[in-house]
Amino acid sequence: MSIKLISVTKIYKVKTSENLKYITGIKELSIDINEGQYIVVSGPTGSGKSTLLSLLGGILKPTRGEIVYHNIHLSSSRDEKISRFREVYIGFIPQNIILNANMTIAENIIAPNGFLKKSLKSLKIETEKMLEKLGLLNKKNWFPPELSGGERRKVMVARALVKNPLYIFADEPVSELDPESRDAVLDLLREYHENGSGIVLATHSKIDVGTKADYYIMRNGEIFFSGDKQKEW
Amino acid sequence: MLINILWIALTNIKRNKHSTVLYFLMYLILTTGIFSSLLSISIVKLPPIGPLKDFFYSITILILLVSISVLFGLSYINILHRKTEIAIYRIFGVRKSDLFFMLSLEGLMISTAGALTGITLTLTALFGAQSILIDMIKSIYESYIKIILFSALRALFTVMVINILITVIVFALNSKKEMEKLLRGIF
Repeated sequence: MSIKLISVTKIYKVKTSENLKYITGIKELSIDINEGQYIVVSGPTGSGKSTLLSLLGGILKPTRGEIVYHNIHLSSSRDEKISRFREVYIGFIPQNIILNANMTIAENIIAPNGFLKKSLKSLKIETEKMLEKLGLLNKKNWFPPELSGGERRKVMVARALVKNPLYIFADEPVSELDPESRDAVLDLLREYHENGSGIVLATHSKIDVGTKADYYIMRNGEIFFSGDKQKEW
Repeated sequence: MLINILWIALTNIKRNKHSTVLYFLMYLILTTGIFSSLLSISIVKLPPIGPLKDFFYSITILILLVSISVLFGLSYINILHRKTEIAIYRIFGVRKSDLFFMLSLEGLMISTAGALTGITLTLTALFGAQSILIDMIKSIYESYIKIILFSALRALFTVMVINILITVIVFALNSKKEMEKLLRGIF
């Protein structure tokens, strides 16, 4: 099982009140993500890391090229089919803090995963286990505005991992975290990797993921370095 | 999965107290208007007061148009406020059809509660005050209870149809590129 990007280009059409601009996010990029692989993508701001993760997660459609999930071709598949794939196999951690401020943190984790064929009871149990691992169980009935930035980020990590996804796409999951929380999140990701999940982690700083990984460096929408050792960009 | 969606819908209703109360009141007013109009129309079907029929129909249509416009506006604003929430669900792979089902379920629960309260209040007013309307219905129809119940059911059905139609239109107008906008922080 793998996800393939074949000569993918993503161009954003940005409409402002003054003009229409075309901004290239990714240029002619080809990459394979296999089940159980750990990839760390680094690069400066605007290098295309977030676009790459959104394309891999099927959240964005490419302008040119093709994305293939196992046997599903993204450009020729219906939205329902792609959504189903994302729902079952992909855990996505966005770069921005995106939580529902009206729901408690436990509800924030359960609600988006509640459409899976899992009982509410098992989802609640899994959520509590996940919050315990991240040291947030005592705050499960708190609301996002009552939490610190780092705690909110941990809630987003828990929300993505609770369904035990086959692929995890994490966009800056440890930024804003103190060293202890950072280790807790990276340990959790490593645990999922050891259990067979494929992980793509985007970061703008050097991090130690604590396991064997492939390292890519991006610049201007292209991968200009790939190897098994981390390098400064 | 149905239980899960029901739980999510109920959680949303509970957590969005302000819009829930506003919707509830709007549906209460709408149902009271429709129910009262339907009852009135049932009476003016008879020839002696036939000319009033057009007047009652006009009033009913006016109530419907005003209520639907207000409800449409409310729903549109509500869905704009909930764009982030909807985009989160979509990022997590929730299909548009499931989201539509969840939003419809929320709407149906609130509108049904509002409609039933509206019907109960109208009936209380009718029977409690021993109004002229009841006397008129009694004098015209022997089975007046049947007329009232039939009008109540028609009012409830109309409100539910209005609710679903509004949800369909508002959802269709607001479900484009929501994930991309959220991830790029341009909502």
